Amino acid sequence: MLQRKKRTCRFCEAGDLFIDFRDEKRLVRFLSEQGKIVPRRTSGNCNQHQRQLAQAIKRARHLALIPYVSDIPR
Amino acid sequence: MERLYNTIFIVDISQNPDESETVTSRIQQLIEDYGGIIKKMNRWGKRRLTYPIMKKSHGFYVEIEFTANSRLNIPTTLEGEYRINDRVLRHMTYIVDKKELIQREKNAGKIKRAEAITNAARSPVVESRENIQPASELPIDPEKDNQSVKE
Repeated sequence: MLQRKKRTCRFCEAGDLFIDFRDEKRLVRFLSEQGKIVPRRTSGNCNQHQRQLAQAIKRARHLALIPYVSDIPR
Repeated sequence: MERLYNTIFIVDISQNPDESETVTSRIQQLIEDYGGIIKKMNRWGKRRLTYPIMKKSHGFYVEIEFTANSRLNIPTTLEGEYRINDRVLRHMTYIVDKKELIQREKNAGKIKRAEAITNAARSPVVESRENIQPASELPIDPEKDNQSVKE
């Protein structure tokens, strides 16, 4: 059995309380190539931060800061 | 209950670049007329939209932060204005969370600390400049003084 290295929440490590939707460069890291939100099991985020992140991404999408869908691989 | 709101809207400036100012002043006036107090105004400026909205590729982003009583229902009146105004491409109004305020304070503290470090690193250079300047000024100063006396 291969044992994967356990990922830790990046926001907890940085000590962030709030994830800002204006910071689109940071949000893009948690999107797939298509622009979908990366699940918790791959990003390693904790529950609270993943929920905040989802809200931030949805707000940024609405304001056209990040795309709803993108086919161009980054 | 007194609340802190934040409203962001995108103005279409493809036809008239001054449109952003007229729309922002209108929104500002609306907030103040209905009893809100504007705390902060932030013009992000012209930005490229990541996807076209109403066939427009660029928009002017404006952010206004204001406090108001929740009974005044300012977000609803703003919503009505945004919907009628066809120059507004997108809008969003939300209640600012406590966590966001704490995070902002934290970030401000980080920036201050970074500035202090950079200033400390720069200070010897500034001192050396100051040392040079008086030396060059010294011979000129007495002449100036003499001139002023003569005059």
